[in-house]
Amino acid sequence: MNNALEINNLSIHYQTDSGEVRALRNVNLKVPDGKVVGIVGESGCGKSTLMSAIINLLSENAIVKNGKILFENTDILTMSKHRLRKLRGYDIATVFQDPMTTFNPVMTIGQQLTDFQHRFKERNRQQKRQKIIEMFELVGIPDPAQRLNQFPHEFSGGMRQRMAIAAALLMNPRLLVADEPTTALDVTMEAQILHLLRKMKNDFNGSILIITHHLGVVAELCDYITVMYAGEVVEQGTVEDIFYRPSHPYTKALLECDPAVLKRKTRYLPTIKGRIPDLRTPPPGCVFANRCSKVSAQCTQTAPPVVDLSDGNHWCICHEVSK
Amino acid sequence: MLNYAFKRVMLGILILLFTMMVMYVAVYLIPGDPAAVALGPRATPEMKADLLARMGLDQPIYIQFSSFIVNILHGDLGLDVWSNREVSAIISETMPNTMILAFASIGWALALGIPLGCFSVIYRNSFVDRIIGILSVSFIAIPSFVVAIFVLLIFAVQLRWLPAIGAGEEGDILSQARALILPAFAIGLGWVGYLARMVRASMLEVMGEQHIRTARAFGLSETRVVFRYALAISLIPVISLIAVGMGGIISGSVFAEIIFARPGIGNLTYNAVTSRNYPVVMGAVMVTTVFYVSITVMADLLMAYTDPRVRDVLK
Amino acid sequence: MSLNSTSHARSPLRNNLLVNIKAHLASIWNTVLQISRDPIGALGLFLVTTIIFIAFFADFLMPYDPNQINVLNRLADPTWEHWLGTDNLGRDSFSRVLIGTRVAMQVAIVSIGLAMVGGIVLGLISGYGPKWLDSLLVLIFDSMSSLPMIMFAMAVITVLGPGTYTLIIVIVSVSIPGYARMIRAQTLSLKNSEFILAERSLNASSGRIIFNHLLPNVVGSLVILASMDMPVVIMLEAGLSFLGLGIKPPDASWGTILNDGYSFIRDSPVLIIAGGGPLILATLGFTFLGESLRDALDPKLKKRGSK
Repeated sequence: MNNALEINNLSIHYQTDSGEVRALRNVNLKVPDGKVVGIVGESGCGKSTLMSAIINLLSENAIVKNGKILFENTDILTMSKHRLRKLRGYDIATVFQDPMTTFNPVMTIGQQLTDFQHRFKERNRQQKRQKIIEMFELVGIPDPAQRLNQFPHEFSGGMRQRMAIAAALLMNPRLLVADEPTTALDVTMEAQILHLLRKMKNDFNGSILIITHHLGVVAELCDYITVMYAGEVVEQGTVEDIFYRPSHPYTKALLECDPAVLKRKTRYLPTIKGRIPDLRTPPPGCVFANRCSKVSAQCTQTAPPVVDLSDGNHWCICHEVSK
Repeated sequence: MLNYAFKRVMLGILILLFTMMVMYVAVYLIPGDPAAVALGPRATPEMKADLLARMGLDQPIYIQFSSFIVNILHGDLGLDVWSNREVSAIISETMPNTMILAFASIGWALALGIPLGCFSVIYRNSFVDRIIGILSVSFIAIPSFVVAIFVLLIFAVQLRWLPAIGAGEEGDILSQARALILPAFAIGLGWVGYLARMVRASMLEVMGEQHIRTARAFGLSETRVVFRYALAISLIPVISLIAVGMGGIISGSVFAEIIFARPGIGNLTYNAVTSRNYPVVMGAVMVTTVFYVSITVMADLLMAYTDPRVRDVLK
Repeated sequence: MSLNSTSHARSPLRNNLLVNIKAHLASIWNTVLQISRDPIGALGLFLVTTIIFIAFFADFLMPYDPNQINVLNRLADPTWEHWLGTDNLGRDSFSRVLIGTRVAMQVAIVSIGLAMVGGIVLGLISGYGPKWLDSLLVLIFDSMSSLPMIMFAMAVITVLGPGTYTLIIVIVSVSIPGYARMIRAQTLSLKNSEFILAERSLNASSGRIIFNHLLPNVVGSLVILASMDMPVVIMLEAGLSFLGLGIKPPDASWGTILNDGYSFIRDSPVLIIAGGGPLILATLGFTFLGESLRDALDPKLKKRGSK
């Protein structure tokens, strides 16, 4: 099977006044053609850095230490400016996290989404607007023709996120990268969006990479799941592997904390105790050691091995599992 | 919005009134006998009394000030001490010349400074950015009156390309435009630097915003992102800067008008200062202050109006 | 410390002071090094040190008496005897430029010093004083900055008559609001900060708070503001002197030299270059130094600018 996207051994650091923050360390990830891959992890685990790296829009204090991000066998990180611009918004479309600030505040939505279609030379202005109207209908924006001439602040947060998804879908991309695409939406809207994304996957043969902390989203939509913690991938597998046979203690803890899978009535939602380690000086052993319930002496001293659980499709890094 | 506009206008009026009062009191408190100072040591008592009466200085200060304000509201700025003409007439004759000069200066500065700032951002931290930066700082640092003297020396006196003095023949647009080039260049040069820097700084701030990332993520070129997506927002703070800078433009005009012997409010004030023509000085300073304060008030209102976010908050 | 160290109070205090002075000197030296690494900063530093050197030693450097008239040798071009030629009265331009440098520096330093002191006092009054006084002072500062600088200058000169003192008064009054606003803002933000509230609860006097916390906090900003003010002040002095409203002839100033040059612009360009050149070099030098100093002392600003 071909991969739409392949990330090999990616490490990215941030230069800050108080030292170098090792935001991503040796991340490996594959997004197969036509599949949906979910990246799950709590805030600060490096999800957003990964996303910025995929479209080569890292902030200027980021340093790529090593690794490659391959799209059609070309490394995105060393791509020419010209090729990059074709990549962005044509091959890879993105939906960003914060719907309130996604759009330019002083231009109408119509102007912006028309602009975003600049790659489609065969569409004239009227056709571009028509496309937007179609997409808006698809994502459930009432009275789309009128709303094209409105400014972003005249829409609710949920509507803006739907428009952001519509903008990405307009491109008919090979890969759609969505950063927390449903966080700002209410439950019914969320279901609609998930349905939309699945439909897109089926109709267009496009791959989707979804970054989220919401396990429900990945369960609904994804074929593969990557669990990230503190800048590292700790477990990877199919959706069944992760939900029914979780191996890494962090994955297990994450699943236990999801309110949707709670089996008993409880006064307090369960949490994972402790905090993410300081990424300026990550621990020599396992990054999860300080919060792990099964921690042993070995965990704090040596880096955990990769444990293959099913022919390279499902693996995790853990001393405990390797025993 | 209306409420905000009202507050802003009231503050402007308050500042104007305050400035007027201080100036009036200052003139009143001139050490020594103003008439004697103005007329010189050989003045006869009759001449002094006549002058004092003409200046209205023979009455108690509060009456003088209130009648002064009442007169201003009627458009009466008093009489020129020497020629006995109405100060308001003299000012309205000369004001257009100064306005043309000021707008020409700011106009070419905008036309060059804004693109320079944008190119600085497009090629940020590169050689181009550095050169534009150094040029901008130098333009700001060099006093406009020195620029005026030097361009006068080079282009009018040595090369004889452009006229050295005056504002051009009356009714002849071409000759007026030619007379405008050197002074407008001198006044505007510093502003090119200011605007380039301001646009750069303000735009770099905007470039950090999320919607710029969206535009880039859709493959728009850096030039397009800068000129179409960032520029409009970056110019909002620049509007108020231009308004505040009008003060500097007026100061520049004073020098340029004197150096190029152009009729205008600056030249008028200068001649009035050297001949101690108080009513003219008062009138000219007041008119420029009114002009300046109303420009800053308008800029604040415009700024509130251009930003759709602010506009909605203020509604 | 004040409870048990009464008998040895002096020596640790003196040690502290020495350490402090050493630390300050070291940090000043570091700033200078940092500035000279930046080519623009190095150029600024070089120009400014040269100008200050000339201002100090003008008396020794001048080849002639700057006011010595020689009507037989008017408007002469530069020669080995007269490096910058002579002016319309046959005075040696080079000597006049040197003494003009001193005048410019004297006026600038005196005015900025006074403006700084005035600004600190007014800013503190505004920040600490009653609300009505604060509002009044803010209105005054706003009014001052709503007058075009040159119009204000001409208005004051009309009232007081031209001369060096008027010049200084004008420059000080247009500069004070900048310093006062800054001190006021610092005072207000400091007034409500936690450690000042803690100090207050320990019965610390306002004077103690001002000298121990406020002033050390604003020294950097004051230095930056003053260095940014230098070119403006130099320009004002030269500009008003050029108009005949500042330094009065026959005294030399870059502005009066420029005025002489302007009057004889059709006869010789030398005087204009002699007066304008140093003025441009001085404003450029102080601006470059100021910019570099700001970058060195306030890294936050620099980062924002070069993101």
